[in-house]
Amino acid sequence: MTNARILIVEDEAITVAALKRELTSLGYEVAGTSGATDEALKAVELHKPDLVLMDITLSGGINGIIAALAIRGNFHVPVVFLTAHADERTMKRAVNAGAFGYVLKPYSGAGLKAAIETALHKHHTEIESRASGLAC
Amino acid sequence: MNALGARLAILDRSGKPTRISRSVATALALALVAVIAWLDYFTGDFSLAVFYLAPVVVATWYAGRSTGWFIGLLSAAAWLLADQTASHGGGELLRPYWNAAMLALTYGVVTHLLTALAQLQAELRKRIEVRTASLTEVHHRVKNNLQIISSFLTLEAEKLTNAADKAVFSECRDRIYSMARLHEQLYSSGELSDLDFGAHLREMAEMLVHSHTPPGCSLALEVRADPVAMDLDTGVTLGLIANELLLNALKHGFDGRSEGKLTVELRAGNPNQMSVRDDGRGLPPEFDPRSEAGLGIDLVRGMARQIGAEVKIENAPEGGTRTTILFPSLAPRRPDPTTKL
Repeated sequence: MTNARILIVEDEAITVAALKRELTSLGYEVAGTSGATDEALKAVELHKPDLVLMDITLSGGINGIIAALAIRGNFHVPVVFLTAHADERTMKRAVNAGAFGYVLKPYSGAGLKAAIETALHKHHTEIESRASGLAC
Repeated sequence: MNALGARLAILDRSGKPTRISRSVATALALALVAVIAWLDYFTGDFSLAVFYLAPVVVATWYAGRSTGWFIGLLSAAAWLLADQTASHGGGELLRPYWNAAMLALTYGVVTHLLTALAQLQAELRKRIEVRTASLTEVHHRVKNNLQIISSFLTLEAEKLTNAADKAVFSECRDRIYSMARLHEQLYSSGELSDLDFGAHLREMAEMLVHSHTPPGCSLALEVRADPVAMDLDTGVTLGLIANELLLNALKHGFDGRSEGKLTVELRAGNPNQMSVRDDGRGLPPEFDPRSEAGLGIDLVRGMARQIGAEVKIENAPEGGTRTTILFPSLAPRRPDPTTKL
């Protein structure tokens, strides 16, 4: 699903700049960027992105995993983690927080695209099955 | 003891036994004392005193030093009681009391030794936790920094207009990606000194073929890789060599072709062999692998020397060019336990 609007939540300025170019070259629109988790919640509310691409270790009082829970709970927006954490414990926590994808840093363009597309597809399927469940 | 502990101990979040497990351990120790004393009474065998060590060990390990001491004194008293009630002969009056006191002392020493051992174990566990946390943090920072370098390359490549120049930056990013995956594999395997290079080679070949297949060429990739364990330093160098060979084959092996096959092999042995073969035209007749110079081949030769490897570039009998790296079979280096982070 190209043209999807993506919010970047990452505190490393260089990585944010590179991500913006990478996402644009992959055909996505960057809805906005945020460097802290508490700002991220406001940004989701403001920009209404189709997907949030978020680091786990961030400033802002809460970590990315808790922020992802809040984003999913309040705004029903899928979150894909982009992180250097490759340990099983963090991955489990991310999955339990309802992560739609997990991309390890440094990322490859192909890996990033695959994770975003999978997350968007999963999210749409979820919405459709919820809608059909309500219709029944 | 650990197997018993798994069944017996209920640990709290910090890994210490809970009150429940202490009570269970004390009850079990008391029951054992009763059974051994009963056997002692019936047999009157002095060697049964050894068996009292079992409840002392259980009580000390799972319920602490004071409980261990208590069970030790109780065991000595039980032994004395059994001995007094069971013995019918005359004998020396003070000897049983002396024996009981010696037994109590022995059990006390065992209790102290076990407590010291448990403390040492707890301290070691804590040190390992700290070290593991530090290593996790180091790996995290390494990968974050690799991401920053990769991001810089992405941004700098944007300033270029020439596709060939941009490709150079893209190849550099691939090398960084490859090094990061090795760090990841090493970290996630739990064995911080060993990594399986076969798995890494397979992943790298798939990634490079995905991103660097020449346009309009349908490329088949065949990877036959034995698991070959090595340390990170050798793995990174060999990974960079493999990266060069794969990129070189993808750039020159399939020029102007609509289809082709890339074969990557890793054979375990002495020496180990890693080879990359394309099925293209092969080497030009004037090519002399010994005198051929160029940044790519010089880099490969230099890195090969670094790990004590030999480079062979030749026309494969089945067609195409094959580059083989023969590298020594090294036992993975174990981390030095005395090394401080």
